[in-house]
Amino acid sequence: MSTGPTLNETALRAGSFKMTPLRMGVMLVAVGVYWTSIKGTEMSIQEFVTGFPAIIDLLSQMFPPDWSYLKRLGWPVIETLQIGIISTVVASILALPMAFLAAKNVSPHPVIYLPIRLFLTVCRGVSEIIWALLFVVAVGLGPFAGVIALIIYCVGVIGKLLAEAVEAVDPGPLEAMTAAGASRWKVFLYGAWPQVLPLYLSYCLYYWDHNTRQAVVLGFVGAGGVGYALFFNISTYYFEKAMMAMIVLVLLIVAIDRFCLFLRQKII
Amino acid sequence: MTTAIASGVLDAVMEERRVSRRQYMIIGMVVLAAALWSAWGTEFNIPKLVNGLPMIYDLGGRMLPPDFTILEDLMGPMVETLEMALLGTTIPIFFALPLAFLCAVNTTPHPLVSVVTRLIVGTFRTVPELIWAMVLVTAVGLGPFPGVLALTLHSIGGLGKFYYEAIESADPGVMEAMEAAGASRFKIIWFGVMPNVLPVMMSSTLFYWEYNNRASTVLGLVGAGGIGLALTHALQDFRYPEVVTCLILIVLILVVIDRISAFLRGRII
Amino acid sequence: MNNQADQHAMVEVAHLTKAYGNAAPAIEDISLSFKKGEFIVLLGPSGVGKSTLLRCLNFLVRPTSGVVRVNGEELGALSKKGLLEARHHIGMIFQEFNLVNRMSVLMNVMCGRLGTLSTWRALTYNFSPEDHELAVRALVRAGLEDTELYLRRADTLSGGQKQRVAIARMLIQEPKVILADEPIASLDVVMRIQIMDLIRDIADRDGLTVVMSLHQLDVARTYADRIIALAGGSVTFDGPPAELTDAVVERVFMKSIDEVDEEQTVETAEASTE
Repeated sequence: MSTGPTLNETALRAGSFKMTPLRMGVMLVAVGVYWTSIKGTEMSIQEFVTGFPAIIDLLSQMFPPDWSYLKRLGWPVIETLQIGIISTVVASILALPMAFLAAKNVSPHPVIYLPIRLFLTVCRGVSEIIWALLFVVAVGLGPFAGVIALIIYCVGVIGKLLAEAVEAVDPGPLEAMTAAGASRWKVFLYGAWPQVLPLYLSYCLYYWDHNTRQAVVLGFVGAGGVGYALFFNISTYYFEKAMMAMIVLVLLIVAIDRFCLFLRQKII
Repeated sequence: MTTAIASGVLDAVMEERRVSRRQYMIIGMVVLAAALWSAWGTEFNIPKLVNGLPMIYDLGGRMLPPDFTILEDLMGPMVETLEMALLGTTIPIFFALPLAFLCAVNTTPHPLVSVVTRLIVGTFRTVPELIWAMVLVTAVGLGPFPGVLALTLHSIGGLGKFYYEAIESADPGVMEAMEAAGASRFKIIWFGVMPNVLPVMMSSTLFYWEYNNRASTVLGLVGAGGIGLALTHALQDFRYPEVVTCLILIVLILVVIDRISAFLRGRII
Repeated sequence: MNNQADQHAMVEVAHLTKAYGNAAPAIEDISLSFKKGEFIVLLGPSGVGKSTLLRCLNFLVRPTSGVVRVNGEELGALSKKGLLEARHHIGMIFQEFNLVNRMSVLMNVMCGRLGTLSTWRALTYNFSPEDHELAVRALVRAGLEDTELYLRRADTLSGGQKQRVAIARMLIQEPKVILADEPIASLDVVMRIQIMDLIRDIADRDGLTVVMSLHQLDVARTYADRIIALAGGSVTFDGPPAELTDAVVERVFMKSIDEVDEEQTVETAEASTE
């Protein structure tokens, strides 16, 4: 049995784009939106030309990076790593009951399902930085506020993605377990969960990477780590130090990326 | 089957179970240890959070009721934010796509090219758009222009990665068949690979559009335009009711974007 | 020998009706009574309501009106917990087997005992050694003696093997009633006979009541004690296979006997090429 489209099908699909009036209309609208966007954001070749020398100048100030700054970056890097880890772990755990409650096919009741979905949307809708700013009010400056912010956002995202995955699960095994007299949550754990487990792990790894990068951004609002070092050095024009911090940051993320790749192969 | 064989099987099964459970335990311990270490390092402290919540409540008192009079003034910046996100998602496509084909191991002209381009794409992706924005604002000044550039640069990395991952998961059979039939490299890519990976790519692009809308609201914090700028000004002047209006507007727009994205997903993919 | 206990009905439905939304009812005013140990086949082409009727028997589908009584208990009057317990004694197998693909064969079978698994054990996926032993016995009884299969993922098995696993999962419940929804439709000809023989054997040995939906005429004739034919949501025939004349068949399948024969032959031929 073939495992993909035949050559004929592929060629046909690529070569048979029909121009219907609807498609024409959509394209015109797209062009219009694009045009206003370019105007609105002051994008122009002019801006680019005038700005370019400034960028080059900036780059020259950033190189060579200040290698002596490297040892001072030790602690911040660890802090950033820690923020990434704890926020991902806690968010992964909290997202689990969400997946159960927010999935139409396994949730106990619409009265539970709808508010939880709404809650997840709010968690996701507000950017992590804003959550961080909010929680700085509660717990003060420092990494904790950032961790809370990342957890909230992450639960919102993973919760929603997971719930959607649970809703897309093969209902057959669920029916079989219900018929055998298992309660709802057991049906979920044994019928639905095994089907979404690989996806769940994939999301967790992906968001570990994401959270570590966001930890850097949150450093801007006082959450410490490499991000704060970066922010501080850019605002005080110590560009060589900033560049050093940036290099360290890139290395950290690449390391995590590689590690995640390794883990993925082991798990899936 | 005799009971002897049955118990033999049982023993094997229980042993296998013991081994795998031990593995899970070890993994669990490692994760727990890492989590505890991280919690300590980040000053994770639930009681502190619980004690601090009343302060948020207090803040809420100062924030509500929201000041809706500024809604009109916010329209411009809001549109600016959306435009930034749109451009910041669509422009990168032109760069990310060819780069992705160079990155992917099954379509790259040379393994070395793949390694180098992956590094480039990775760097663009790793540096948060906020930092790109900060740097660019320093270079070209305030406004939405550096914002668009920041999003573009970051998205070239982000989209590039999604794209090359999609390309690498394409069915090699079609490519092989076309190569055997004597098609040029470009034709193989255009007719063999593209139609299959297009849905995944569009899905990733939509995902990034959602992400960029979120990101562009934040870029204003460093002066790169959009509603983030209005938010920052209100925050700095302690005009909290205005801050709340901005936030509500942001959340609403993001929900709408989410819906649009879901709708587009259903139609296109 | 028949005695008092055997005379009391195992499964009873009275004036059973199920309508989905505002559509015409899938089954209407059905009243039936099945004795302990009877092998019932619900016969008919797809869409006549066999599936619906079957699923009403364990309340996977809640009837719109009417009473369902299994082993003396009226399902509609039970609490949530009561319904779960009642279901412990009703086993069900499906056309598409409904196994959890990523789980091992053994674990799939043990899922039949989920109802009695304590909360803590359930959360940690920790079935007891007794559960494991019961599962092995059930698998052997279901005809899967190759122990190498037990730890493999369920989706690595053939269709016939999968149905055996499903049967083992049902056996571990020690049910009193077996419900079967087109259990052989996805199997090839050789497997069909083996699975039907297996089910018949289990039912006879344990004195179980079997309610099975089929559209394969010859299979129904061979194995059923009693055939109930449905058409348009109502019972059009209720009797032993011997009474299933061509005329009845034509009425049930709403085609001429030749057409029915042809369809059934084609279907069997397709199954044997899988």
